[in-house]
This record gives sequence, structure tokens and C-alpha cells, in this order.
Amino acid sequence: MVLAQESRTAVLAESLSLGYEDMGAVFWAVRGVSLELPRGGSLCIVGESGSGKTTLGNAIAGIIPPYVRTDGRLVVGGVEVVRGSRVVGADRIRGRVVTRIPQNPAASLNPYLRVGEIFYDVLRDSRGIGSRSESRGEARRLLSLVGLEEEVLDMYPHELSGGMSQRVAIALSLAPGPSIVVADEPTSNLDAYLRGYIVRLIGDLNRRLGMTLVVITHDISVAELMCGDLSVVFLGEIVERGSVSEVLRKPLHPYTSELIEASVLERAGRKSGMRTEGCAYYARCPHAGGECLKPPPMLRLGDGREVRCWRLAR
Amino acid sequence: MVGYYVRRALLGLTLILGLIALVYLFVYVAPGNPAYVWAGKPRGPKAAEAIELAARELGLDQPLHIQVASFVCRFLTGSWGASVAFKRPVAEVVLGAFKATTELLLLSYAISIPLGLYLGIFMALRRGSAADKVLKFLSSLLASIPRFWLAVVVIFAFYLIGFQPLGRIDPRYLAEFREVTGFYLLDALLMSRPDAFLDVLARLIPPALIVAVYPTFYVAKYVRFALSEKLYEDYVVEAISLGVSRRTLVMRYSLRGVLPAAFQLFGINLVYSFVDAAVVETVFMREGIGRVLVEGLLRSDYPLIVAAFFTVSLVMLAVNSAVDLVQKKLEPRVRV
Ligand SMILES: Nc1ncnc2c1ncn2[C@@H]1O[C@H](COP(=O)(O)OP(=O)(O)OP(=O)(O)O)[C@@H](O)[C@H]1O
Ligand SMILES: [Mg+2]
Repeated sequence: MVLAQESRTAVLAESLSLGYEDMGAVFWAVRGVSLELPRGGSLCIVGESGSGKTTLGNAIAGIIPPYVRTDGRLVVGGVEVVRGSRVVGADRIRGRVVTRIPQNPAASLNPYLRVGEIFYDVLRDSRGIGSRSESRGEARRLLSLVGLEEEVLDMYPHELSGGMSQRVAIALSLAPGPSIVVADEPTSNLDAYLRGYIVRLIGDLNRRLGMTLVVITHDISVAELMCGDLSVVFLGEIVERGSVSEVLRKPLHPYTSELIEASVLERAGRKSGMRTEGCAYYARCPHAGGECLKPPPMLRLGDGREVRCWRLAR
Repeated sequence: MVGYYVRRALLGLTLILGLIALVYLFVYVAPGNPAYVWAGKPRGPKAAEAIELAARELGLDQPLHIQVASFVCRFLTGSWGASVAFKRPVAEVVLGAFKATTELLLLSYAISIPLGLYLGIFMALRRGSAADKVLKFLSSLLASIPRFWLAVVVIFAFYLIGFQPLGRIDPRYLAEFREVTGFYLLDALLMSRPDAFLDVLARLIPPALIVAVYPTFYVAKYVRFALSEKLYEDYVVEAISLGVSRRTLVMRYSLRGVLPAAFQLFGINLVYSFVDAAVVETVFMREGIGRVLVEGLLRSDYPLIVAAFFTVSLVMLAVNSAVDLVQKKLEPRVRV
């Protein structure tokens, strides 16, 4: 049963748990997650590797294989997907209401088909576009949304670069005309330049095309660029939630602070590689002071021990 | 691309020539006079004459490497000599037998290829179901049962219902039967005798089924296993998430990844099928390359053995090259 008000929310989870059965025992990768995302909203789910993000994102996209155990409730696009231990409506939302941008785009394109053929299959089965010329026209339009040329349609997936596969995967996820898109680590395999491009592209799905967006990432710094809301998960549980800007400005949970620090440090670390003067460790050092702007000398402490730090020089 | 196939063909040919040369050496080192061996270890009044003929054929007075070279050359120009066992030219015996075996193997694989693929897909889609378990058990059982035993059982079963599927055709048709193509099904059609055609078919189907058993279940098992794995590949899950239908998934997403290897398995299985055919032909008293080999071995008919061996190798090479070609077509990542 879906209440009228629930059908206005894009994603609604109530104490949702998802687990993998392993030799009789069940390992719960997602534990009692509750969240509500209105239509047209955008939510970022952040957490470290193994915290259950993909499991949750897949469930929202209607990908719940038979070996996954469920509990609680999940409603997506007004369709009840999980009711307690039963998966009821996954087939009705998958590839219709909701699609997914996969975590590893290169592996998620059928290596035996040209890109145009993959588009043709998806367009025919999801939207009943039967003619090849019509399908090609639509595929061309979708590719232009992600800045790719028509030639790509005649290529095999192994002929695409990483960034191209990622963009093809995004265009494919738009092909069924979904109102909700789940992006799983959309930037993890990309270099800095492409990362910025893809982040903007995905953010635009929400800002310009008005789609409901769920972004899954381990890098909290990209959250702000794509989403309005933020949920922080740790070992399958949500430990903090709020608007992205609020959470980033004033994290309340120590794990959130840790994630933010890790992300800041990562960026500082990248910059520190370019420093030529001062202490090399300056950007990440908890004890950094004014004198550290000058390069510290290597101190010989005897017995072959050496250290390069101003704190010991004093 | 063309270069690859030329290289491959040359390699294959070298291999076959090498094997022929090796066979010659075997004859040469076999105990006793090579001419005596080559002539089929004859006894009786005409023996001396036959041995002398063989000695001339083998060029035993020449140095060994010349002997080998002229042996191979003679072989390549088609002078395969006379068969001691069949008292006919070797080429004629081998060609006739070869046609009979081809007829049998063609029907076997016409059954085996679609059936093996179908069973494999069927099992993969119903992993864990009762039907899957029964078929899995059956395929393990049938793939390991000795074919000659199966052949005997089948003949016995037919015997019980009053039909003996022995030979290639009922002897009562032989008077009018004319071998035109050497493929009896075709010849019967050319005679416009539907009754003869049905008789040939009825005698062909039981042995063909028995030969088909191994490749069918071998490939079915492989397809079941490989396809089950493929159904969890990233790109299949991705297609599922994009709403691609189950039919499309199996036919274009999973099967495509399995077919190249499946066809290669059929090609490799052909070697075993020749052995199976030899056994089954013997039990069903059919003419065929297998029987020629068995007969040749029993009678030490070396010219016959070498020729039959050469023909089988050539076919094997051709089929496996064709299979390779199909595989390359199906597999865009390994274009040569
Ligand atoms: N098919 C599966 N069978 C059993 N356990 C699984 C399966 N898939 C995931 N898990 C387990 O569930 C937990 C959560 O996995 P999940 O892939 O959802 O994490 P994640 O947050 O997406 O991690 P990552 O950042 O590495 O992608 C992990 O401990 C993982 O080992
Ligand atoms: Mg993941």
C-alpha cells in the first residue's frame, strides 16, 4: 500500500535493511536506513568503502538479486519496492522510473555490441522504439547531452577511453527516460579534469533536467557540487544527515568530521606536491607553525637517526 | 588477416606432412622387413610378389630421407596405392568410407549443436530448479557412459521392437540402389524412392544420436556454467538496470559471450566424435572411416591406415580453422 503523500516522494525508505546471505548467516550491509527524498530533490550518500552504499543505491534502482535479504520498507517513484522480507515492485521501477549510472562504466558496456546497438536494445525494450533510424536519432540526441559525437555509436566499448565510457554510461542511463537517476561513484575512475566535467554533467541532470538525483560517493568534497542533501553512512547506518552546506560547515558527528578532514587533506596533499619552499609536510602537519615556511634542516641525532623537522630543532 | 589464415594453413599442412613422414618411419622401424609390413605381412603363394611390389613402392634401395620424401610426394599426388584388406584402390576405399562417416557426423552435429545450446541455456536460466538438477545429472551420466555400450543397448532395444538398424541400407534396396554421390540420403532422393530414403534415415538416426550424446551434453554443461556466470557480469546487471528484456539479455548479452567458446568446443569434440563414430560404426556394422581404420589396423594395411589418418587430420584441420573463423567473427576483441 502506498499512501497518496508517499507517491509525491521520489524515494522513501523506512528502517530499510539489506543483507547478503552467506552460508546460512545473513550479513546486513544496510541497517535500518530511513530517508525521504522529494521529487526533484538531490541526495548524496557518503561513506567509506564497504559501508553499503552500492547495496543501497542498487536497491533504489530496483536491482535486488534473489540472494539479497530485505527488511523494512522502500518506496520509489510511488511504487512499493520492498515490503518487509519481500521484494514486490523492483521490476516495475527498474529501467522505467529509475536508472543507474554504474560504478565501473567500462565493464558495464556489453563488449560484444557496438554502442549504437546497446542504445538500440535499451530504447526498444524500455520505450518501444523499434526502428533503427529512430533509435539512432534518439541515441545521437542523448550523446549530444553528454558532449559526445555520433561516431561513438559505431564503436565497440573497448575502443572508448575511460571518460568516454563514463559519458556513454550516463547517456544510456537517460535513454529509458527515468525521473530518478542513481549515480554510483561517478567520478572515482576519472582524472581531475574529467572529474570536474562529469560532476557538472550529473549535477545538471538535477538542476537543468529536473530529475531526482541520488549520488553515491566516498569523497565528501564532490557532494556539494552535485547535491542539496547529504547522508553520511558508516557500516550500513546513517550517522548524520542534513543539507550539504550545513553539514560541511558544521559537522556534528565525529565520523563526518573525519571524512571532511580526509578530503581536505587529500586536496592539500595534492597541492603540497607542488610546493618548493618550506617544510614538505607543512599542509598536513598538525603542529605546523610560522617557522615551517622555511625549509627545515636534517638533524642528526646520533646512532644513525635523522629527522627533518623544526620542532626538534628548537 | 589473410596472412594469418595462410600462416595457419601452412602450419597445419606442415603438421600433417610431418605426421605422414612419422608414420612412414614407424613402418620402417617396425619389426621385420618394411616392404613385408607395407604389403600387409602377406602369406601364401603370392607373398613374394607383393613384398617385391611394396619394396619398389617404398623405394627401399634409396637413402632413408629420399624414401621419406618420395613417400610424402607420392601421397600428395594422390597415388595412395592399393588396400590389402579391401583389395581395392586405397583412395576409393577411403573416399567412400569418408562420405559415409561424414553423413553420420553431419546428422550428429545437426542434432547436437542446437540441442546442446538449448539445454545449456535452459539449465542456466533455471539454475537450482528440479529440471536443472535432473538435466545436470543426466548430462554427467550420458557424457561418461561408454558409447559402445550405449550402441549395444540401442540395438538391443530396436531388436525387441523388431527392427534391426544395422548397415546403411536394407539389403533389398541394394539391387536398384546406385551410388551417385555416396551420401545415401541424397542418393535415395535422387532415385526418387521415399521408402529407401526413410530406410536410410531410420538406420542413420540411432547411431547419429549416440555419436551426438557426448558433444551435446559436454557443450550443454559448459553453456550452463558459463552462462550462469555471465548473468552476473557487470554489463548484464547494467542492462537489467536499464530495463532490457530477459529475452534480449539471454540472446544478445549473455549468450554472445558464451557462443565463441561453445563453438570451439564443438570443433574440439569432433576428434572424439570420430573415435565414437568408429566404435558406433563397428557395432552398427556401418561402412565408415572408423571401420576402415579398425580393419586396416587388424590387417596391418598400412597404406590404408596412412590415407585414412591423413583424411581425418585434414578434415579436423579444416573444421577447426572454420571454427576459429566463426569465433573471430563473434568476438570483436580478438580480431586478428
Ligand atoms: N554480492 C555480495 N555478496 C556478499 N556480500 C556482499 C556482496 N556485495 C557486497 N557485499 C558486502 O556488503 C558490504 C557493502 O558492500 P557495498 O558494495 O554496498 O559497499 P560500498 O559502500 O559500495 O563500497 P565501495 O565504496 O567499495 O563500492 C561489503 O562488506 C561487501 O563485502
Ligand atoms: Mg560501491
